[in-house]
Amino acid sequence: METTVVIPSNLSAAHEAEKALLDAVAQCRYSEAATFAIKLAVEEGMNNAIKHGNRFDAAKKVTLTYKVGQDRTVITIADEGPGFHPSALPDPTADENLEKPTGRGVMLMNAYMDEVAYNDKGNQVRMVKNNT
Amino acid sequence: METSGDLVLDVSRQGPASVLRLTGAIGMAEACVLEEQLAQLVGQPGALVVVDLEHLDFLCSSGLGALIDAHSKVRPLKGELRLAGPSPMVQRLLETTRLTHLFEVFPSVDEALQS
Repeated sequence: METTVVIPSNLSAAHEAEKALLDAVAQCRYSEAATFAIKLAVEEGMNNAIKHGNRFDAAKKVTLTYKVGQDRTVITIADEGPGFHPSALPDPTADENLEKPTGRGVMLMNAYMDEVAYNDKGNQVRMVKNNT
Repeated sequence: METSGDLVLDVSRQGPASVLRLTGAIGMAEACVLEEQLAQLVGQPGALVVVDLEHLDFLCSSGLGALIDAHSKVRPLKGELRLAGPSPMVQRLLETTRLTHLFEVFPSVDEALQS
């Protein structure tokens, strides 16, 4: 069953939405590594949507859609911001960027999820994690 | 001891070092509290701060940012920030981000203190 949650652009609402998703993951007995990966990717995706996409604008919403199955979890996060180009981001693992405190969220989503894709505008991300 | 959301922060003195034990999880909301706590600990010249990660289950990029910020503050003051006891998940996160090249990471607090 697919679940869709629309929340205001604040961290408290995001936390509640993430918790419900992770409860569903726990019920399907994903591995510790897969559970960590999903939690990390959702946290980063929601943070990006609220902070960089909607810029904490209370009038703008974040839409979290997920489907948790025994074999895989599919998550979509959409914001109402102008979007961005993921390929234009600097590599946070480059030596010259290691001491920068920000800029790792997108890289971590790519590293921990099995599939990550953005819409053309860059304000919606779809991620898949296989339960292996 | 201080609690913020899913995170408990506990500071103790062990010889010349401050040991900050983190228990629970650090998301974006908790990262701000961690940053404030670390700023207090690294503000003295020559400060040695050991961050005990043994009981930390989860860390996001904002939490990593708080650690990097503290590292950047303590270094000009001739101090040190050391990480200790990360779980395999947190260790992998540090390796994936290549922050093992920035931080000294020790298997335990005792080893971080003895280094």
